[in-house]
Amino acid sequence: MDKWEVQLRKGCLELAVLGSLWDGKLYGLEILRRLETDSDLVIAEGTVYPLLSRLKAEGLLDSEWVEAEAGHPRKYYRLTAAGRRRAQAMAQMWSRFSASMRNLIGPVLKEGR
Amino acid sequence: MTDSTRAAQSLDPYLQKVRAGLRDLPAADADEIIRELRSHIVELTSHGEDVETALRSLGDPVDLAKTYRAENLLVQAECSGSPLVILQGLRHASQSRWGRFFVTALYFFGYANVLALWAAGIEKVIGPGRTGLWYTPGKDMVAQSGDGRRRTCRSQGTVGLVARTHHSRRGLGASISDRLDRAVVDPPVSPLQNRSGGVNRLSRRVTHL
Repeated sequence: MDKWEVQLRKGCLELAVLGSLWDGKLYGLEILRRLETDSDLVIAEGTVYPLLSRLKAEGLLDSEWVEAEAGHPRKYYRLTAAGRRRAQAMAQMWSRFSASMRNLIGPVLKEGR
Repeated sequence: MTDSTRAAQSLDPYLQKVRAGLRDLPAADADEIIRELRSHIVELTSHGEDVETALRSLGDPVDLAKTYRAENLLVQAECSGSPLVILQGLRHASQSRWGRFFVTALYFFGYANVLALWAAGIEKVIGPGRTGLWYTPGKDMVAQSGDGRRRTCRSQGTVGLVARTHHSRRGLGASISDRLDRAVVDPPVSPLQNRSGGVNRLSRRVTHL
């Protein structure tokens, strides 16, 4: 059961990261915070940074270093055109999938209440 | 000891371990990763978190490097098509020793097949008369390559690739099969047919395999 939940979270992570960047650029820690507050996705930081690096290598994200007023540079990520297309496609797939799952498990949820 | 020197004391060895684990990535990529991780830790500590806690949330440095490598090498493998990069990516992606053994074996098997087919194809251009498959129903399937060595396997006499046998002439139209080598599904051949002189006519060349 726990294993299933871990796999589920892992599988959604890519879409979650792309979704968090939809409105504009964010740096790593902001993305992590966004994932924690906007969803209850508890994600190990050691998973998100390598994922960001892969999404960038795939051309879905772009990054730039910005010197922060705090005195150290931050690496900001933004969606590329390909990233936006991917995010849209994945989001549509997700909403179709979750709608049909909801239909399927409706009786289970009713019983549980 | 100031806060920043104490931070550097545990941060630097951690990042060195990650860097060591990233040695087979391009140096620029590895440097970029280390720079980002450092920025992440510095950011957290500037919000009052201590370095040890911040590092613990990133996990074991060796595991972290492994995750980076797996993610990056798989992308490289997808994009580059270089056999070496693909092998590296596969090996890093496989979780266990046996998994690694299996993907490596499969990898070499696949490339060996490709090379063999290419070699046969080139051989066919150089010496079309020497390269091909010969078949006699009820007898052996014979493949011969240019080096003159013959490889045989026993055919079952039910399904075979046959060119211009009396079966194909009868069944599929003589006008076409007289000119074209073609593949047909060969019906079982009775011993009688074989004995009554069919053998010689059946053992014709099969080409285009």
